[in-house]
Amino acid sequence: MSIIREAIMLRRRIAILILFCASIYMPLVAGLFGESGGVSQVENRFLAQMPRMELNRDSINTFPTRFEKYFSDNFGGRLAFIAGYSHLCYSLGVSPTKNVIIGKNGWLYFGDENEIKSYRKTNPFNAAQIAKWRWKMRLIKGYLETRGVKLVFLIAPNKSSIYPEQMPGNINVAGKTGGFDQLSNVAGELGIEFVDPRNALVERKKRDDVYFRTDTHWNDLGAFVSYDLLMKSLANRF
Amino acid sequence: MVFSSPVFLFLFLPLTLAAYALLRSVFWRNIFLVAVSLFFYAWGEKIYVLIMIASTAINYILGRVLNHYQDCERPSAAKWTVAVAVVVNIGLLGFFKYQDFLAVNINYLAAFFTAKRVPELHLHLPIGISFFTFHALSYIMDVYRKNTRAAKNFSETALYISFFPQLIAGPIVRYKEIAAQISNRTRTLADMASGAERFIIGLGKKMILANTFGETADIIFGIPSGQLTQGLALLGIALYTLQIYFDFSGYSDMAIGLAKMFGFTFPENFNYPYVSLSIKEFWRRWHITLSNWFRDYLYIPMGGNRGSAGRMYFNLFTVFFLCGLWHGASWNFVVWGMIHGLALVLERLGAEKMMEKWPRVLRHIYTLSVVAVAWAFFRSDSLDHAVKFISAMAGYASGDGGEYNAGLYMDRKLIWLMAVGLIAATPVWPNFIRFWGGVKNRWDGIYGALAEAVSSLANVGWLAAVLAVSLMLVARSSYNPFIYFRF
Repeated sequence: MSIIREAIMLRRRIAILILFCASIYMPLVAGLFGESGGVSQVENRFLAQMPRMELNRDSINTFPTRFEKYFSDNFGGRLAFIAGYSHLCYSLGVSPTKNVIIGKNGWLYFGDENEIKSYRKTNPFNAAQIAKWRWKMRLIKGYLETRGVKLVFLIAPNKSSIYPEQMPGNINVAGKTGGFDQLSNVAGELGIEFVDPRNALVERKKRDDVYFRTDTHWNDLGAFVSYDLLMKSLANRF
Repeated sequence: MVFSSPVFLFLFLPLTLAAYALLRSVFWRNIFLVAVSLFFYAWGEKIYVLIMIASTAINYILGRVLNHYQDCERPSAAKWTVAVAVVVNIGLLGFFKYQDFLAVNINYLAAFFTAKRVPELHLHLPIGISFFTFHALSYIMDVYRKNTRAAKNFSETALYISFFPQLIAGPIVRYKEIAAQISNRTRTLADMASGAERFIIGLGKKMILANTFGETADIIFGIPSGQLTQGLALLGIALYTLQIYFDFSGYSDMAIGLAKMFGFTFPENFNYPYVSLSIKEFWRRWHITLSNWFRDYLYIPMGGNRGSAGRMYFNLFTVFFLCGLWHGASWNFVVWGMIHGLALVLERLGAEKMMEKWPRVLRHIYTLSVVAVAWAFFRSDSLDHAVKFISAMAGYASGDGGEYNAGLYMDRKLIWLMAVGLIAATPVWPNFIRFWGGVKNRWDGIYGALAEAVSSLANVGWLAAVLAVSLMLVARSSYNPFIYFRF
């Protein structure tokens, strides 16, 4: 084999070692004493603090787990890696986290398990839960009535129920009844005025966005549509 | 400690490598490796590290005693020493791993006769005990068969058994293979680089492929079996089949790579098992060191192929019964083993000869079908679940596909990674590399050098990408955001 080729192969080996060593030594060098146990703005929680070890059996036995929690939360470069991953995923059209679903046309949805179940209508309230709602609503209505206060019930719909067409196609709606309709029925049974903004929102969305595209909440316009509906129903009384 | 954890990657490994490089003599390097290996083990197992140390000490002593009897020409004393070693090692393993299983089954049978029950002790299972027990047994057997002399000093035995790359999940290394390296090894730049490369590939297999497949496989195997559809079952078993391969072979890659970085050459453990055309071939490609262990220390001592055909089938069934049981203290694993055992017996009974005439594709499908059905038992929570799962795979599914269907999980990421996984499970890429190597070698002068340079760049770039994404995933697993922290 030629000398040049051998030289290239040597360079390759050195490059691999540099790559490897840089990666595993970097967090040590970057220092893990930077943000120990601070509040992570990105994650909205306290990061694990540097654990103490006392000389008793419990403390020693739990030290490895506590230290791993601390180190996993604080090692140098952690945020860079996490951010890098998010960028990589998003650029490939994949969601980097379970909490966010990437829909069609760049629309994002909240990926919480319960929210998905609500959308798919696979977790309607069972009889016991309906009974509890009924009891709660009757209680509140009764109490307010004794004070001469009218009860009006408005539920802000999940984005996925107003914009189902942008949800990814493989998440199918599997059930017939959702919690929204169930509560609407209970309110009807109890004679509680129920304001349902869904139709109004669906109408309005034909002209403008009523929910944010990359957020799970309704925008000012969507809020206004619901507010308007609510005010119109209240206006009847005054 | 887990190889893919931040503590191992960014603290244990860099410090260990640095200190190792600073030490000079092989003797001190070995002592150091034993010390860090014990620390590595104790980090996860705490006080139970003493069990591993005790096992090592007992086996070291028994090895020396065995040599003594052999040198004194006392064959029956030597035999008894081996018997003691087997009883002690298997006893230790049986106690910690199988006490509950034995108790449950004894109690099940006892219920027909008496109200007395054997208590289930729910002992903590020291991690890796299946592996280091097998290491110890192979050591004693190799000394007995005069394949090797017993280790002269304790540190050599200790290093053999406790060396952290293979301690938890193999490959199962024979003392004979490693003894020379323990007392005398060098470590070149090429070793360190190839070790690092191997480790990176293993980490990538685990973090990028195995973990992704496992996430969805876990969900599917968690669905109530009455809700499974055929699509779900097939998707689930495909994902699990890929997951277990990439997880285990990735771990072996990391172990082999780590060992290389310290100057040790470990045996290969996987050779693209999913391209096998028969179950016989499968076991020459899957967990190679384990199947070799069972062959050399159980199958052949029991008589192997010699003797009557009936005896051979008995031997095969016994080996695979124990192989299944070795994987876990539950009947699911035994059934898994027996499926493989049965397939092997049938192949020997003539199925193999018959299949030699079949087209490769058919033989491939046969092999993967047996492997997949066996995995269903391996993975399922119970025998009942396994049977329902396999029925669903075959088309007898009771789910209606409303709430649970395969489409739910088939997002872009999974589809792409499954495609990558299917290709990576075959030797397509290494075959290409070999072909390309041949091409390069035939080019002289500037073209050869250019080709080499381009290849090297691509190789390093590829490794950098795999490492970067793997480390991102490692960091990601500590990511734990709260949406409503203040509420």
